[in-house]
Amino acid sequence: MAKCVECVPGFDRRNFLKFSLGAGAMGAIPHSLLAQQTQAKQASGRTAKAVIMLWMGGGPTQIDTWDPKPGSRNAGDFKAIDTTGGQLMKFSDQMKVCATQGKNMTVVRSMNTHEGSHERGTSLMHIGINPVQGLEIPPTGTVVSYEKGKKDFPLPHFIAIDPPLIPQATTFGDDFMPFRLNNAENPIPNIRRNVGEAQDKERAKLLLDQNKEWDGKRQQKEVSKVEASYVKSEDVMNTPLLKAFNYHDEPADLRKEYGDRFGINCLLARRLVAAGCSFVEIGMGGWDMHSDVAGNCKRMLPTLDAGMGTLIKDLAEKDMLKETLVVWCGEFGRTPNINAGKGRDHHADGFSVVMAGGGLAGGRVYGNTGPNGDQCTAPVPIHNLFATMYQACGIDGNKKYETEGRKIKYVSMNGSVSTSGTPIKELF
Amino acid sequence: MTRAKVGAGVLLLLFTLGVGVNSSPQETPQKPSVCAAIDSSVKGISGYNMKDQAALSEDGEFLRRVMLDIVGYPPNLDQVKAFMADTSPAKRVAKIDELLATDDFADLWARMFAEVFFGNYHEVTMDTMPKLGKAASARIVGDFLKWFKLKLNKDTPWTEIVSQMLDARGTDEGDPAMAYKLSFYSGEGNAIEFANGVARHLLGIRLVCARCHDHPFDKWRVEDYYGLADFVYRQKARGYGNGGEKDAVDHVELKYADEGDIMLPNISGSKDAEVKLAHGGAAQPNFLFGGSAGKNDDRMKVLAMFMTNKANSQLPRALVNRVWSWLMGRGVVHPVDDFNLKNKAMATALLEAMVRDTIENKYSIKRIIRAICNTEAYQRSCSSDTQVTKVNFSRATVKPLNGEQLLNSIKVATQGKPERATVQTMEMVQSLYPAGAIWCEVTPLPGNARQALLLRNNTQIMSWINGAVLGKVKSSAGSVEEKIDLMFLSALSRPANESEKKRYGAFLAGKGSMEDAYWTLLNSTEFVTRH
Repeated sequence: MAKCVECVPGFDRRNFLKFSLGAGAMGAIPHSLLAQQTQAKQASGRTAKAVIMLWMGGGPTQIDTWDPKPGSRNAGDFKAIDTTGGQLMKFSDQMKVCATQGKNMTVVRSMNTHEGSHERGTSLMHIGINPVQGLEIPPTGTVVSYEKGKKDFPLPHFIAIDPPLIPQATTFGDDFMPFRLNNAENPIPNIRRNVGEAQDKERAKLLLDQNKEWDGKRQQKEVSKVEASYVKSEDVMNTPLLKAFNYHDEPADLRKEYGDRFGINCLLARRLVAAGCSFVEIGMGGWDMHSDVAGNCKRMLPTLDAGMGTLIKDLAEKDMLKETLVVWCGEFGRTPNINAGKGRDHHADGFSVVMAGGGLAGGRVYGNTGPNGDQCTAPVPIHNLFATMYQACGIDGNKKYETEGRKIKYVSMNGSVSTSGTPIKELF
Repeated sequence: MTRAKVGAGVLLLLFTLGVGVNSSPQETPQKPSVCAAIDSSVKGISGYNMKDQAALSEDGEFLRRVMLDIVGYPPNLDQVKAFMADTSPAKRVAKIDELLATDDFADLWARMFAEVFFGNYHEVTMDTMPKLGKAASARIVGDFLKWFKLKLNKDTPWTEIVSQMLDARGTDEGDPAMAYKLSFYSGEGNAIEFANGVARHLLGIRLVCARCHDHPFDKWRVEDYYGLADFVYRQKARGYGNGGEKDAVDHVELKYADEGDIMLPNISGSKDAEVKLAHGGAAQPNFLFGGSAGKNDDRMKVLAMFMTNKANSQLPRALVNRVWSWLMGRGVVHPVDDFNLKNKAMATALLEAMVRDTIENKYSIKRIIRAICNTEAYQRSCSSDTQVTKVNFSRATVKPLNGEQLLNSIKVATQGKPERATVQTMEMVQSLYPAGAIWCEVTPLPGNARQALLLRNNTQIMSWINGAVLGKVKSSAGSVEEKIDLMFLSALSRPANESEKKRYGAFLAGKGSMEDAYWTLLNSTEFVTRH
């Protein structure tokens, strides 16, 4: 119950080796990470300038997606198919488009957070540590956009489309908090002038004169904030970058490939990143499949596959993937065993997180959950996942920020905030 | 006694509105005596220079501020004019009393307290066993708000309010104060959330560090943390009654087991070993500032007694500091919920004078507000020729408005009267807050570019500008200068000065329309802030 007791063990080299030997000894497919390292170098060598996070609200199933268990009692309804990501990387047969992108993808199959509640799991996967009352711990989007965001960028740095409840950290400033995009057709409310441009200029001039007199004698924090936001509102209204929101400009074929709402959001994310946004988070809900996991998957996986697979492919074709990190995750995974209602329940000890692009090599699988999906080896604690993501972006996880008078590392271990995480170096 | 004061306030209101009721001299309202002590200790704050001290605010500036603070909306044209015309020397004292006697005061402040306790009180999670449904939680919080409002209206002592919140028992139907305790059934579990919440909301202390190890920079030990949690540990919330929602119940009953204590965690091997770690064992119901519940005691009653006992001066200290922060823009201890050994008060004497006054005056919340609003510190202008880098109360603090204050300001400026429309307010401002923010209509606005865009370009607001107030200005018989004055009085609660008359005169003489002129006032920094 208490957080400190649950400090997850750190991952180190020794642990990794033990896993390799263990897997071999059990007669499973030998873990051939080293072999793959030589083959899949093409996508690496850069660090990400931007991140697109695909958030699967409810806790997505790993066995029916990235960690199939053919022949197992837990296999479920789907078969395993080969991918371009090497022998180890098999996906469920629902992930056909993604399978073509295996060479660009990294699958971590052994995420281990012990956190099985939706609310806390959502928070944990965003901030990398259990919440500490009174301290504002920044979510990945805030850290990445703060570190990578371009100065004087007129659009929001961190855009969240159909997002979950993202924890807040006000200390980095409003510019680096998640800008919620409610409606792709009207992305920034009130952006259009309600009078003609010339008339607007006239009245804006009068307003500035008036403010100059009043504000001048009141140089306080709140006054400068109002002034700065007025200037920024002007920038947003006038920037040509607003065109990034016009996803209708894309070829009809490509739009069709991306698919429906989730896919279109992925397409929008690619355009926003191209325009200079440094973090786009896209939410896709409905993964809490306590019953009928097969039926629900048949309904949702094609959408996910089209959107995510096309996104990775499109980024690669436009030569953007090496500078864009795509991260796919939810608050936890789902149990290997199928319950009486033909569903899968919450599972936080051995679930998948998938990444692509950025500074990562691609074509790598990390960790193993055994033949039935219930034996997690080489467990990856949350702080090591965060250390990995930040390294892929060229962000120092040991860097400290200040919140409520305390200095805290970007990547901190639960219960021991002075300890950082370790990037999974085998993925680079 | 409260009733008599309310009566006086109403009489004075009638008087200020020019109805012509004479108030006899002995009814002239007085400033609370503690105001002088507060003002003298404010001047002792480090960095306070007489050369930085702003003049007292003009009547309009004061009236706008005190109305936004106490009732949540600014004065309309008639109210501004009447207040400016009032020649009574005690008119500010009377205005404060009058506002505190209104229903709008209790309504707003009940919600401000509720926002501290619950965050967005429109959606409170109550994971009792079985858990309460959404509609049931909303009803229970609604009952709490009504109850709290009534207590504020009647000026019930803070100690009594706190006692009832801590000792709520029986069923939700019988005890409207119960929402406070039920809201702790979430997150980390009731006892933990209770210890965190009670310490923070009611005592202004962040105890949470001591959950795993002794507090690194305060006196709290792990035993103190679990001691507080242990008081509530035996409380069980049993849900009952089908509310129509799946797996959820409609009502709840609080019961107390005879046995059981919360266990301290046993922590070892952490790398942060400079502080003493929790090392297991059962907690004892020991109160933070001393005292414990005996074997056969009713633990919640004992805790309520310890919390509200005169010996616990931290309860009124945390309260006066919070109210001060609401009215003055910053706590004497800041943040308001972070009293610790390292976080020193800006002026200890100031805080202690208010604490004493509160204890001597039956822990009256209205008395605290009345005292602060009647100080010179509160009534100073925010305008000054000098700049100070740190808030030291030598001039009024400019604060963000909340959603309700902003929409009310727009409605008063355009329609002539405020209108409580919570749903409309929340819909209008929801896109201003970042995704994931927990907010409601009384949460301060973020003051970002989207907020500027809302005021600039929103078509609904633009259509309101063309409303009754501007219509009256346009059709008034006066000169352009008089019309400009009317616009300033209606939107900014003050007359236009000479340079403003010139500036707006030139604008109107050129291509500028009255609507555009009024639009600039509604977009001005002066309009969109509380100052």
